[in-house]
Amino acid sequence: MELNTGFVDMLENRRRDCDFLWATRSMDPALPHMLPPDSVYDRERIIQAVLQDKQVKAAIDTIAKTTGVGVKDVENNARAMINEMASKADLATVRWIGIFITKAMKRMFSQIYINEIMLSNLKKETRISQAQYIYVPSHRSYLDFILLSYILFSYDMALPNIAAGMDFYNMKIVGELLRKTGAFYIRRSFSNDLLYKQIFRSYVNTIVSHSDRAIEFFIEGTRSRSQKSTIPKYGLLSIIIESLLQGDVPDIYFVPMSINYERPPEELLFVYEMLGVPKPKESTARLFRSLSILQKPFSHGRIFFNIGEPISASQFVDKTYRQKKVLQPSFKIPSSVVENIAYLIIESHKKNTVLMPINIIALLLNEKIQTKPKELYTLDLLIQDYQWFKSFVTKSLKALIYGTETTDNDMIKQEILESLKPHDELIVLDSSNTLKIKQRHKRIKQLNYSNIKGYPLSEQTLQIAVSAINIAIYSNPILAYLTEIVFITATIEENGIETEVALERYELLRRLFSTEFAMRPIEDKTLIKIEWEKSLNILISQNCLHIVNNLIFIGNNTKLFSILHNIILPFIDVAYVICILLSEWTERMSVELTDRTILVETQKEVERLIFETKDRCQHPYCLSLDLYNTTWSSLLSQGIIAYQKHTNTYQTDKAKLTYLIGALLELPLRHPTETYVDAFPLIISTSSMDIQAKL
Amino acid sequence: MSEQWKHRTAAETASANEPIEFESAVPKIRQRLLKWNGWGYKDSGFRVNDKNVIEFTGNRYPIGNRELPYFTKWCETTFDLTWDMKCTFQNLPKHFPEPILSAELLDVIKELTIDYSIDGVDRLFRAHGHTVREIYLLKHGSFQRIPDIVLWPKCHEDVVKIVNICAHYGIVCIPFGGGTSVSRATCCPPDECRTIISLDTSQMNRILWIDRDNLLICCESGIIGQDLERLLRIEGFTCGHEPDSYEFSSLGGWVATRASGMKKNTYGNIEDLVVRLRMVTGRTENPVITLERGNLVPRVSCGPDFDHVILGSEGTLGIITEIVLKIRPLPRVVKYGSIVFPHFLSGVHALREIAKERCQPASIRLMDNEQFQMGQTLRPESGWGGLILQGLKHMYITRIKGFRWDQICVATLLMEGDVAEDIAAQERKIYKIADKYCGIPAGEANGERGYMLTFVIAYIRDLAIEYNVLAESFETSVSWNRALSLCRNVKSRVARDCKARDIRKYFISCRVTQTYDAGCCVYFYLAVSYSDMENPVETYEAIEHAAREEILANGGSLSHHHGVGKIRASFYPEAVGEAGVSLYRATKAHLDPHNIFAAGNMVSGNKSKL
Repeated sequence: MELNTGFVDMLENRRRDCDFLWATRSMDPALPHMLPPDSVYDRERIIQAVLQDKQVKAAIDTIAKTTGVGVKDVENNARAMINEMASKADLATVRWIGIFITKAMKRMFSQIYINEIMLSNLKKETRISQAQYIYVPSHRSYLDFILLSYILFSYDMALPNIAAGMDFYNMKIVGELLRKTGAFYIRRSFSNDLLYKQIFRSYVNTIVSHSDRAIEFFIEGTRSRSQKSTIPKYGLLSIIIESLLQGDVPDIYFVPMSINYERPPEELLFVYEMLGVPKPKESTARLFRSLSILQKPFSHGRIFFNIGEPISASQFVDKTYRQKKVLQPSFKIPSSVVENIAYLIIESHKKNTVLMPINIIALLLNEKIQTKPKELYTLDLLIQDYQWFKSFVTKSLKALIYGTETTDNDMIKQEILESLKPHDELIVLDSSNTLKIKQRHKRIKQLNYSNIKGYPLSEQTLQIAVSAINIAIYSNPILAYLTEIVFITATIEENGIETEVALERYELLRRLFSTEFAMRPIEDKTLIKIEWEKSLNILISQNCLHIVNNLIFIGNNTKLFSILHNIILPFIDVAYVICILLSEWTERMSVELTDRTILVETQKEVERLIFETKDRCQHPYCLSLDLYNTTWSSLLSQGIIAYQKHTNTYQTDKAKLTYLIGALLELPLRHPTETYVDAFPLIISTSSMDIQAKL
Repeated sequence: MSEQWKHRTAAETASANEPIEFESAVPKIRQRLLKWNGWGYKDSGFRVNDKNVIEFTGNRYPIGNRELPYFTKWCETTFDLTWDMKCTFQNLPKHFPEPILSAELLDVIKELTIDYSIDGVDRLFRAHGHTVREIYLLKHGSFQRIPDIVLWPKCHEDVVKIVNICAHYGIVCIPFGGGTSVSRATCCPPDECRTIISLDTSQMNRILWIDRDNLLICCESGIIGQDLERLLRIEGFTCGHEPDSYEFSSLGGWVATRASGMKKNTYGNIEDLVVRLRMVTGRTENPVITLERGNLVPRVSCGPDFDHVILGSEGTLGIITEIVLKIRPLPRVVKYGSIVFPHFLSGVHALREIAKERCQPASIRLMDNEQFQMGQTLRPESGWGGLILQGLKHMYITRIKGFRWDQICVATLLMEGDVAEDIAAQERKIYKIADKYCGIPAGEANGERGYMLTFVIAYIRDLAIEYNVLAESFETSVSWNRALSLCRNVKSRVARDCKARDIRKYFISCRVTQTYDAGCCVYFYLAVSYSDMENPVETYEAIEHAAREEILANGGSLSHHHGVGKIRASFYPEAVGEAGVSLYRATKAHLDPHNIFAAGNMVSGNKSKL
């Protein structure tokens, strides 16, 4: 679907007026949680409420008893924890930070589009009743929370309580500044710390019920380096839902927000992180160094900030559960309820993703390199392909793309060129108007090998992989709409396949990759079939497939089929390679099988395959550690690998593994004839050596 | 007949332990005194006068014959009313459904020599209680089914006779007391094709005896609250059971619905007051069909207490005929009081502590801000002096104490005792607790006004319907720790529901009306403006249904004292559990094998074994 209503470039007005006057304008920020004044707690009262919490007190007593430390000391410890955690709300700080943020935003981005209709609906809705609101944006960049705060401030809405990691807390000055703009801090892992756990739970429950500001957290837990949705985390979500179960709030609305960056500021960092080169520690000094991104105006293009329909949690935390809680205070909400809400949020993120031209261009470019590397990709050719593919995603997939529908070549050309502008460090048009890729990797001088998460990749590998993965993270957002469809393309034989077998293969892929593509785990076969049929019908309508007598054949639209098929290839390849490694582990490896060694060995093997073979794992995206992690957890959840607690090792279930390898081998995969390694030099721009890669 | 004279005879007969007959405040032909299509006395009610100001007619109540300018304004702003929106109601119908009544049966009834009537108005008057739906139908529609004949038994034996006839001829009998039900318990199941007798207990209202030594009174079930209190007062006693409907509701009705009175802290709820009960069951094949305990004692340990099968039976298990109740000597001193709290939260906390310390006065209630604001408007225009005084109080509370006018709420107190010092001590204790929660004593007058208005509030609904506003109250009981969240969540649910249904103007308010060790009773008022709505009653009921779901989800009960009836029957199974429902069904099948008492309350569709 192409959208042209509702979205407004919020920077437009900012460019017109004075930043200082704007930031210091008189305002009465709308508080979404409409509590009676007596129920609104300030920071001090929240801290008091947490320290008075029965379970917190019980935890303090337990710890004092078991460790022999005095109750007073444990209490002081508790006080320190809550002080470290609790947020503040200080409009003055927000105002003057606002001046800097607005300047930076105007410099970095050409437009920030925000779905104003949904935002004003949201604002109106908060006036109806005393429900609490939870903002759950997708997490694609550190900028996400700054951006949301900036938007809220611009629209006279109060900044929420923002769940933030300790990395920010540890930054000098900035940590406290962020606290004053609403951040509250959560330690990374505290499952073994009874006191911290109780304080955290109590704090979250208290702000859900007694803060007049909303709460914001990232359900994906961490920034998605690959720029596609990642599986939801349940911890904070289930604590929030607990408040509703307890009846402390009338309802909780989760407001999913999809953010798509034309170019996320951490772009290159993400690429390296996916390859296993670690991210530097956040520090204030680094923050200032990163301000260099402000040097070039509009260097990061546009942002689309879309707001989904609020999800009312009371629909799922229904009367039955709440009554159970009344009769049995220890009752916990079933995890399936929390999971359901979590996936509704993720699904909303996906279907509200507003795609940009660069996403389509990246996908087309990737296809070109693999299938016709020798053919020059001229702008004219790109315009044709772009128009064709855009029409497919908007019409058949109902994907959201901003802009008016047009077939006018010049307008499309403008659209493409506009989207390429922020990417002149990655994709360029040479003098003959041919698309070229720039070498983005710059030799890392002092690489600290001990920090490398995977296998130390060769310089040659990095030179191909960095650019290739950089392109991939721009095509990845389309997967929000494409996942189910690309699965199907990996299941269809040239000479036809029975529908039952195709569906079985689909189920296999879905199970294997539900973590990678953040798909709701479904056990019910009829539901999977409905999902499958929906995507199958799209492919049939596109003439990618056709059905004759219960047999599915590949249709005439091989161009589209090839694109879709090539998207899923690297994922299946990696899964296969991991399975083979696991089956031969004891014979081939000298190291113990762990969740860390599997990363190293797989990456090592993939690097070898890229250069030494011509079929499996040709695409550099296969080097992504993310892929190994999601495959690993998928194998774990399927019981193909099992963790042995007493020996702290992993065991493979040989029978299951053999079955999976067999099933994967049966898939009719069609690897491109040209290898990526050979194709890449053909499209690389030669004048790229002087580009400064900003790391 | 002077009251003096009546007093003497009553005393004489009572000392001789002869039954006391008296003339009830409400006549047998009820429509002579009471409205046929609304609440209460014909001469009392809110009306909009020529100057477009609301006034209350008649002089039965303290605000009678006074203009109410503030209330007028409140109505205008709360519901966006203009006084030309007044809608007209239908007149008393002239035609009624033909009674399903065979000539043979009529002859049998005539032979009984029990008063009866097949007059349409008499039948219509006993076809309903006072839910929104019933009142709306009286004014704008008609009932699908009304009783076919009204019978006025005069004693227990009359009832036994009637029930026997019912069993013999396959007839339904629905008891009717004061007609103040708010659960649709009295209305006839529309698909009932048997003859329906409305058994009106109002003429079975004698005081059978008074026992001053043991402080007991034995009454027939048809006696209404105001008669009982008036007669007891003359003797220097009180029963102390004062539900808001006590002007009209009957003793039998209280027992059948497990009623609760305002002053239950001192006197107890109906189940605490009842010492002995008689109920005529439908087991006509047995030689004895009355369920009653064989002794008259303060307490027994004698297996399950079958009085508790009768209490709350809502007319479905039999006809309650006689009741022995506890009475108390009249208190010598009665004192009102009130406390202003900065907000509802502090008020609830204070009430909780008062309950914990067990120093509740006879009655303590806490109104939320909405109700406080509304209550403030229910007064005549004050003179200059009054205005200044009012202004000063207002200023003291908002300026000096820093309370917000849109947040404050008020608790009203009713204290009873024999010695002024006792009351003063209790008062001090209560105010000390209130002080901990920032509550300020706000004087006797405010408290007294609060209790005076109790009986007037029921009249507002008739005014509201005239201007397209449907209003009703509903109640629940809940544990202390969930009381606040229940109130807030129910209000929020109503707000969201109204919004979803595009209802712009509505009013939702609550008050805590009873306190217990473990929790309290919360009373909600809901009013919804419905002009241009297609199904106003269904819409209102859907909102109330959703509110009830929210109440249950928050740990509240299905009802504290209104009962289940038909309006809440859909929730009954979850309230008592599957085992509970089958126990009820078994009880019903045993006590009423012919399904004579087929009012269909709690569990509908009880199949007759015939």
